[in-house]
Amino acid sequence: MEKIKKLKPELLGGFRDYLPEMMLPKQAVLETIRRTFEGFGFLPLETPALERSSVLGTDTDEFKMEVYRFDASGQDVTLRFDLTVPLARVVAAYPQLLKPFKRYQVGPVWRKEKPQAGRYREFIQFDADIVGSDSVLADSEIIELMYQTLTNLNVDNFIIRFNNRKILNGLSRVVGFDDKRSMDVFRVLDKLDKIGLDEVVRELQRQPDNQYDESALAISDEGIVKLKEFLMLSGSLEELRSFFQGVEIALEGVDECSQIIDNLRALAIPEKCWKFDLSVARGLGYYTGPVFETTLLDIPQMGSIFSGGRYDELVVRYTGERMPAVGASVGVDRLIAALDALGKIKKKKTNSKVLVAFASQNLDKKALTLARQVRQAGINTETFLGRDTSLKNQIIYAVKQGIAFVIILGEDEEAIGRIKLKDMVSRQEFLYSLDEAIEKINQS
Amino acid sequence: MRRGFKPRRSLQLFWTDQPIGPFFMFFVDKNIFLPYYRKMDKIEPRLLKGFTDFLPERMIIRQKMIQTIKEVYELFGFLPLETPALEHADILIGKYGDEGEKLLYKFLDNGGRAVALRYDLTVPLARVVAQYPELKKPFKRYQVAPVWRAENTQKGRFREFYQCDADIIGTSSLMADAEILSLIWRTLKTLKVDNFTILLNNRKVLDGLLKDLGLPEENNLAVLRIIDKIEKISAEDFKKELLAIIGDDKKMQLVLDFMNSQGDLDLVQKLFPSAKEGADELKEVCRHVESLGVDRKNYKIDFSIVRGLDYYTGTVYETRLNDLPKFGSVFSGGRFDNLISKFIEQSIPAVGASIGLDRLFAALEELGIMKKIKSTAKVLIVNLEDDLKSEYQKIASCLRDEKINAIVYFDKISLGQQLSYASEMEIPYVLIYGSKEKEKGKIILKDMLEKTQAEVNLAEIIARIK
Repeated sequence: MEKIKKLKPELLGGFRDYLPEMMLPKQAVLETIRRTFEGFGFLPLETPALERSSVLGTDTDEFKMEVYRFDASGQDVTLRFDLTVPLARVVAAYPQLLKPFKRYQVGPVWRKEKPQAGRYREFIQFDADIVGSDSVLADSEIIELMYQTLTNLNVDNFIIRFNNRKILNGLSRVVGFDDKRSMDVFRVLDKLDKIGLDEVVRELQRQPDNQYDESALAISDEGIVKLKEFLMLSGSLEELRSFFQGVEIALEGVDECSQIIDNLRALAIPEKCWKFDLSVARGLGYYTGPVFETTLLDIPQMGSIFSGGRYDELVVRYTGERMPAVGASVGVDRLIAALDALGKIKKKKTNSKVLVAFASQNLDKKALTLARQVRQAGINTETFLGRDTSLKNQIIYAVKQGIAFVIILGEDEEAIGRIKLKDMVSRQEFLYSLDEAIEKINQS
Repeated sequence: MRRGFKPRRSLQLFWTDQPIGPFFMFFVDKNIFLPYYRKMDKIEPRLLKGFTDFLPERMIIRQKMIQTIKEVYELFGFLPLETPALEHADILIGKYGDEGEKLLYKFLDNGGRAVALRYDLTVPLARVVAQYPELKKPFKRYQVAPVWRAENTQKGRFREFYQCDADIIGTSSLMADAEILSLIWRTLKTLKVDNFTILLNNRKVLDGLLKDLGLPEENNLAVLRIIDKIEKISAEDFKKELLAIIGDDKKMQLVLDFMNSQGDLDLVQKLFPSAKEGADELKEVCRHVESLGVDRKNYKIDFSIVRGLDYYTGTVYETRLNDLPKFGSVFSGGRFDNLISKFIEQSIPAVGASIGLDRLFAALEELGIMKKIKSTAKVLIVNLEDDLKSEYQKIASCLRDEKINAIVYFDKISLGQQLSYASEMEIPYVLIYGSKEKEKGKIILKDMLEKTQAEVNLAEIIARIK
């Protein structure tokens, strides 16, 4: 026989499969998040994975992220890289949507990041956003939602840190650098622990090497004095108010933070779970107000697993008008990797509770009928479908899959109208009528 | 390196390559150019053709549908699997026939690798089974996910749509074929669809027919194509086309008798002795299906079911909604015993079926089985006074603890406006709480459907709503 060359069954680098034992817990996590979001009245939305590059803005020079952009029969298309930009498109495209529009969306997004441990090129985001409200209540609710979601997921040792972009904007005015460079400044400030204050100051003051050098921040001496003063602040609101005296935008930001703090206290959200923290900046350029980040304290190297903020200008691209919006996003895959590393994911081989086994081949149809009756009671049930139908092999299958109960159909039991129920955990066997068996299984 | 893309939309003048900028606007009448200028800045929030948004009023119900389907699949012990949307193009190429392959979204990624968006969930499943030999067989898995096909949008077809697949890998037992049929039946029943027929056939019956006809091999596919479209063309045309290929009246009559046999398995074996194996398999599947208690009126054997995809080898299924035949099959599948051996030496038998979720959803919408739901929230808490803001949040939090979905209205607008938000969103209960109520220690509960209201405390509210 001619030997046909086999294709190697492999995945693209940076992509992964979720086999059932990981997919079962992942599904449970998704379901918990969904229930929590719906508890707050968020409604589901779904948008396509593929969009016009012009709509996502991936065809512009300013767009720096590596994404999957390609030509589909002459159309310039991109696989979505987040769920926020598609939300902005939806809000612009359907003005009839009643505001405030509280929506959640769960779905994969694609980014061509360098593959590294724990980072994938396709990953699930779970977003909740409130569009059309500029109330601080909405900001507080997002933090409450973050807290409640993680609590419902039985994650306990976490901290939600928040800041306000307006304070950072105020800082740029006081210190004297362009608003748009805030991220760069904070990236340098972030290295404080690593390289020390002198090195940080040198980097911040570096002058351009030539006229094309855009990376230099060139902060003045007076600016550095102010910046040092800022770094010395303990983060108390009073201190901030006096530091930013006369800088209205920053004071507005401080005020919003103070309202959020009041709301969180009123809601009795444990103080150990949240913190106003001036070092939170968030990478994305579109935030305009409060910004949030969540760190799992037992595994801080994972980075933020639940982040977001207020972005009042995202819809402007489409409509020319401002539309207030605030939201947050769970990085589901990263969260699951973290929970797994912390031993909080119980790997399950199956969701089935019962295997209906048959002692002899001629009882296979009886087994099908019985399985149907057990399913009718809402119990996940399997019959053995493999080739080797010896009773032993069927029971081995149940053990390997971790199925809790086996119903054994034999000639003897058949004769007296009973079934044998084997509890695989306690290894006990019972002779029952069908109803009794179902009751026993439901009790467990 | 993105050759072939048109430059961004920008206004150009015929005597220069430069787009008009604000500088030029200074010299001409601003009002003439303003509309164009605005257009340049704003991006139309448009979707690609063949793609769609599911806004909440449709997504809530669609999600319930997906949840129901998953629950039924799990009742049978199927386990969830998730594979990526993007695969090596090689994995997908050569599995869907020439017509199918044209619809693949293929492109080169930055590293120059040929990649493709998945076209279905079956070939990725075959890859998984080949790649992870440690998966315990029989492997019963389900997957619910979108697939992409560059279909002709003029026919109203979607280019991104969901499939819900359930497959049993690693058994050639016909109990598995029967279980898939019973799964189709139970899923549709649970979705409250009643008037449907699962059409059952076996590729081996058709293979037997082709063998006994003894036509040149290259004509076989054409015969199957004609059989496949018997319902779409007139009896006259059917005969005419068949004769053109078979070229023999006697043989053609055999095929006509076969098509008219109403699924009579004994007759088939007389007409085409080579079809015996397929007919026997169908008989056994039907026996098992009966044990599984599938309602007789919901399935029948239909020899015209061919299934387009190349990889089927035995049992095949299609499901028709009798009230909406134009939707075609909403739940189809079959046995594909050779697909996995495209990746590994070992041959692993497999059988399964797939719901075209969006097609089924559209059909159920048309049948009125799917009613739009505006909101999942049960309660709206009206925002009346700034001082009470945190109390509103606390009330909401208490309700959520009791698993009651609750919303606080964020902005302090008039009571009337807030009530009309609740009624537009079809939220059934509204709580009104101001300083007067606070003094009394009561909350006004407004029932939006019955249009009644009462002053009660929180415990009573929870009891009422539950």
